[in-house]
Amino acid sequence: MTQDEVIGRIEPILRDLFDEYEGPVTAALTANDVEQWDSLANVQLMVMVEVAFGIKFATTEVTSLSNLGELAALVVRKAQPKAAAST
Amino acid sequence: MSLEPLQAWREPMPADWRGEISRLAERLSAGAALDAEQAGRLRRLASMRTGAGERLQLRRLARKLLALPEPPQGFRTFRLLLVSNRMLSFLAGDVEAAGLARGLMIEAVETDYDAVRALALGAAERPAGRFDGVLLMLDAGFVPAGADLLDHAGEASAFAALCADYDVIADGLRTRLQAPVIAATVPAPPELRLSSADMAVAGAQLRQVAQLNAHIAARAAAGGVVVFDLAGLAAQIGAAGFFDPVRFFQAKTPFALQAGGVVADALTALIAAMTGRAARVLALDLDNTLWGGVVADDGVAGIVVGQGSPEGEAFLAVQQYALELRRRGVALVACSKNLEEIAREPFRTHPDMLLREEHFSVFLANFDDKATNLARAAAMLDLDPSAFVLLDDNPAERERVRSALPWALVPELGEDPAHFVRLAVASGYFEHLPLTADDTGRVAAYQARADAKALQASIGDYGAYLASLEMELAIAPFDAIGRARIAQLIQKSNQFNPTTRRYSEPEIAAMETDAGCVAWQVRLKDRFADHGMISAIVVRTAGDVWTIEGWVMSCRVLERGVEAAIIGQLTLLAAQAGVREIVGLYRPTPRNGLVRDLYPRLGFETVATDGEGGATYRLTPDPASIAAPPMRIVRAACASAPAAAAL
Repeated sequence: MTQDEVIGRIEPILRDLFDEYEGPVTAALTANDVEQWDSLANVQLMVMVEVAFGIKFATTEVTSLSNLGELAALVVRKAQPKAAAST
Repeated sequence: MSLEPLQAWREPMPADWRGEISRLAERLSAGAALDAEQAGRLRRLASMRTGAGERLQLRRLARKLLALPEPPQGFRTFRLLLVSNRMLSFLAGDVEAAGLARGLMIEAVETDYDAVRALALGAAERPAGRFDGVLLMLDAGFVPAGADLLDHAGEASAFAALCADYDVIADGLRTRLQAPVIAATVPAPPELRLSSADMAVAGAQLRQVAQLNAHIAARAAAGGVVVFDLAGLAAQIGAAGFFDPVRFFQAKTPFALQAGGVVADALTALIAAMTGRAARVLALDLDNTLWGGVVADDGVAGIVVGQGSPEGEAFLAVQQYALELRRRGVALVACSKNLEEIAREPFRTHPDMLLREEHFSVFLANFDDKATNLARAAAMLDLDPSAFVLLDDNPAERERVRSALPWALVPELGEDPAHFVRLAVASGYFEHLPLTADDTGRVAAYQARADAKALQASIGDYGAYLASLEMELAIAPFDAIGRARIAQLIQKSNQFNPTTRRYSEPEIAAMETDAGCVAWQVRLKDRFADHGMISAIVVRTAGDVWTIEGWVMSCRVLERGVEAAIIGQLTLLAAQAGVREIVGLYRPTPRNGLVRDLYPRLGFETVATDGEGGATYRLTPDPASIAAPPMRIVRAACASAPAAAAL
């Protein structure tokens, strides 16, 4: 799974959470670009991504992310061993 | 975490679920209301097996509904304040979304994180407006850590202090917000269970949490709070999944966000019960729902029910569940596509059956459509189809009933009778408050209603019919014993309710001693049944004009002359007190057209109309004008003493 594929799968989650945001969803997207992206929405996003990819983020992992691309890269790293094990 | 068993009673979403919701949302955005059909469809869509994304959409739709001037047909508003020592913002959205499945437009108002004591004790500003309920959700952090683990002698007093602290908070919230407190029991996270011995160690937090929950339950049994058993729900979900330590340390959420939908749904089931919207009737299919096999094909000897076979025991468990609900005031209705004689046979002759003919208030076995039969049963019991839950193993029958009666409640049952009861319980449709004698006696009252209708048909003259009922009407002032039922009656009466003034339980309690009002609770008995408390009236008695500010009556006792009898008694009391006139008010709502002409029918004259359907009426209290009521009237001693100082 590539970073772009992960962003593609996160996009509908973002569109659900941030229904008023109509701009592009790219690796460069940050919370500052989206008015509805507050601290509660951030927690909701993390949980929805965890559920969608069947992973769990560690306490320190999500606090250091600066944009969507880094989140996607983290998902790729965490989902990789699982995908490898199941194939 | 296993949420699946708690969701499996919901029907799956159709492919175009999001499209349907979007179209309803667009309609609301364009400023249009929802018609009755759309409102029914929305309730059904909201009760389906939705995911987190769908719930976000439902929440937005719920917000749009709240902006309407009037709720759509079948819906009502409920303003809920969320109070917690943790971060509950996420639950606000889940609760607003979940309410739609139960006809509730909930406005969930958040308070600041850990403002519990400040709010309860008055140090923080009271959130503006009227509330219908306050959710008090404290987690295990409320219980002090670090108590002496060996001080068994001092444990009782330490625990008493904790309970007193809890009561100060619960009572403070109730008094300040003038709304019932919904008290969540406290789930224990796995981290609190250091050892099995914790249950037996003085001062251990786990032991204190268990004791605190027993205290909350005792408060609820005494009517001080409404208990929401979050600890029980957490156990069903599984504590290991229910609690998410990562999210707790990051955002101080008291439990995993994934559980929010299920928690919110259980909470809205409780709110439905608080507002009189819980189901009252269990309609049961027979073949393959109450027994295995088809009685018309297999014969009474061939059906599978009873001890000795796993399947037969599973069907017995379904019967046991129906009987337990009946004990709690739920009427049972048999609904089967069968010849009546054949359908009745197992109830009469099969030795292993727990359910018998006499347990059913209505028995419908014929070849009509099930939706038609449910509507027929609803008419016989004077109830709305929204009060009915149908258990039917046949998916096609379930779908037909849901399509024809979108407000009827039809849980999925799966393939295996061993799961039927669990799925029905998980639906929360029969959620209820601590039982009262009115609840447990209700089934007899339903029966009486069906019997009385049969009698009415056989007696031509209506006056003779009323006389034959041998009614007894008991009038008493508001008191502590009647308080909970008065509050319930005022909350759930929409039709016979000329002013739709909703009084909270604390307001009702205040009227018990208020010299400026006459507040009566009215009970009715007849030769068939004790109907319990069926009416409450609140009359403001300022000077020589008495104003009927609030008046509700249960629709099941309409057409019996009860309203005229109550006004007759009020007239008598007002005349004794030298009152110049009694004033009646009508404020129209979409639901109370029934009482549009109530006051003119009772002999009041119209004083003014407001151009929007509302009106003010007056009556000069003249004892000579009171017609003889078709019943015996019993007035409690203090109900006859004028409460007003008008003399």
